[in-house]
Amino acid sequence: MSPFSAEGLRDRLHDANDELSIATMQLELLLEAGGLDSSSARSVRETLEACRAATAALRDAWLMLGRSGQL
Amino acid sequence: MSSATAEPRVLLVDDEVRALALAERALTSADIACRLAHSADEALTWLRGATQADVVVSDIRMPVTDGIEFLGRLREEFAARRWLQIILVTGHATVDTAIAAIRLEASDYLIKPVEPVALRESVGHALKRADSLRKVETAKPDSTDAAALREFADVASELAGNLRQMSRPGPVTAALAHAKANLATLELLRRLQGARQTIFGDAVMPEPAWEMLAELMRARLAGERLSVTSLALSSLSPATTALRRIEDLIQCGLAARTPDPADRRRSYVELTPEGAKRMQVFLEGFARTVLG
Repeated sequence: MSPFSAEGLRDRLHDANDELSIATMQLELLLEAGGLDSSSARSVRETLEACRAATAALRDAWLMLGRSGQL
Repeated sequence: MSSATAEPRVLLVDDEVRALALAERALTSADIACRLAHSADEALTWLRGATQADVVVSDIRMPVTDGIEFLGRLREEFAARRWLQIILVTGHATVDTAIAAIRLEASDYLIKPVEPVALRESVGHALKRADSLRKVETAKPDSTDAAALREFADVASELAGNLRQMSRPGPVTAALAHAKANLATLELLRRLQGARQTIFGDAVMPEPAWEMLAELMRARLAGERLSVTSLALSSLSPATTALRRIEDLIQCGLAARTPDPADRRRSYVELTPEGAKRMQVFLEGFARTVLG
């Protein structure tokens, strides 16, 4: 599969989403565990928001790439 | 590899080690013991000796054997374990994988990134469902439970017939079909709900996705339009959970949202033709399994 084909691009989007998922879950668990001072907690929340925005952008890219039957 | 001393009832399957470790942390913090597997083969090997296993959470995108193929092999090899609940996890939903997941009776379909709360909620519901189904499996054939199960299957079969009729083009006008379906469907749904509670108690299929699919099916058969708000309210779940599940249903192609041209703040949601077809297949499959 060529890395420049639509299939190759989808694969890379999947990879990026997988990495973001790991970062997001890590941050969510960090917040859940508590024990952070307010400044650190705010930083984690802001990073989490950035991860979510990046995930939404990836989802848009996935949709723009399109394919019959693809959501 | 097991995460707790108790015999784990939950199996996590993913080739990505970090994702496995995080999912395990999310579940063990809620006292849910897990077993981890890095491939479909490893998972199947463990399941052969683990009759206590109730729930399998698997990533779809894995090398060698992907999650859908794994689920197919699992359903084939462990056909006798009807209580086994499968939760699939994917980065991007596709129509193909959603349909395959429903056909193979996956109990939930989570989209990455999965929030720890959502994972616990999904696994928690699946564990309760497995408990109830184990109870049904061990019920004697002539018991009240078995009779109620057969009634449940009859109702499922009738509802599937209704959905099939609705999708057929024919001389009967839509209005007439709706009027006929309305009363009958309400009665069938009432019986379905009653039978379900008799057999399974309140624990079975409590997640809003199922409740909302049933409500969307009822609305389709009755010719009603449902706003997003009324659908969320009908699920009797917290609004954020209900709205997330509505988005999941839309993402999977089972439901569609239509804006209200008269009021831009409101939008309607309805079962897609694919959603109706899937509900019909599910009901028919259930009826066939029970009635033979």
